[in-house]
Amino acid sequence: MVGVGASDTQAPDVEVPDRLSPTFAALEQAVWETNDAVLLDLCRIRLGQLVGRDLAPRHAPPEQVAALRRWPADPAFSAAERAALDFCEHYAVDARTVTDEQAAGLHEHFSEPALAALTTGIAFFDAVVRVANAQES
Amino acid sequence: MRIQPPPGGLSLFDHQPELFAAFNRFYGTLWTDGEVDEAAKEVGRLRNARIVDCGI
Repeated sequence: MVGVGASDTQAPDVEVPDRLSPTFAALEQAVWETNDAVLLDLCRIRLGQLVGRDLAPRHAPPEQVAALRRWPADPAFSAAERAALDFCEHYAVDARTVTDEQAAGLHEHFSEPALAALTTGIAFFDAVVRVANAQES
Repeated sequence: MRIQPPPGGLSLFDHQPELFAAFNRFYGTLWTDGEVDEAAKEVGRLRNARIVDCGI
């Protein structure tokens, strides 16, 4: 097993079997490269919070990380970030609860290529934090 | 569909072909390698799909 996603100074988000590690690392790299790194990191950290994991930030600024549990009301977040975090939370809890109004709101802030990348990024880190929890249980 | 495919594309993933290719390389490895046999993986895949009302 190897840790994937870690820098030299950060713990990995999840341990991955050696045989999966190269393609997993390449997918994670593609996820980061196709997304706004700060936005995706906010979603990643929030997904961790929802399942009880306190992930170290990789790109999100400290003031936003500190306010992330209060994102609906805290002025540290833009309208686009709120729309993405709202989608992120609904995706994690039950993707069937994402409404047409929420989808329309996302389209106000993001292009379709950006939404395709964001959806994939949220799905990726949703899986990562759940697998990490399962590894510890 | 809430995210339309690009012109000439089939799904939302066609908006991000390099990302989709990376996903497919990982997904292929997940299916064809590892300690768990493919039938067991398929049971998990189908069960997950049923839980979230995915039509696969």
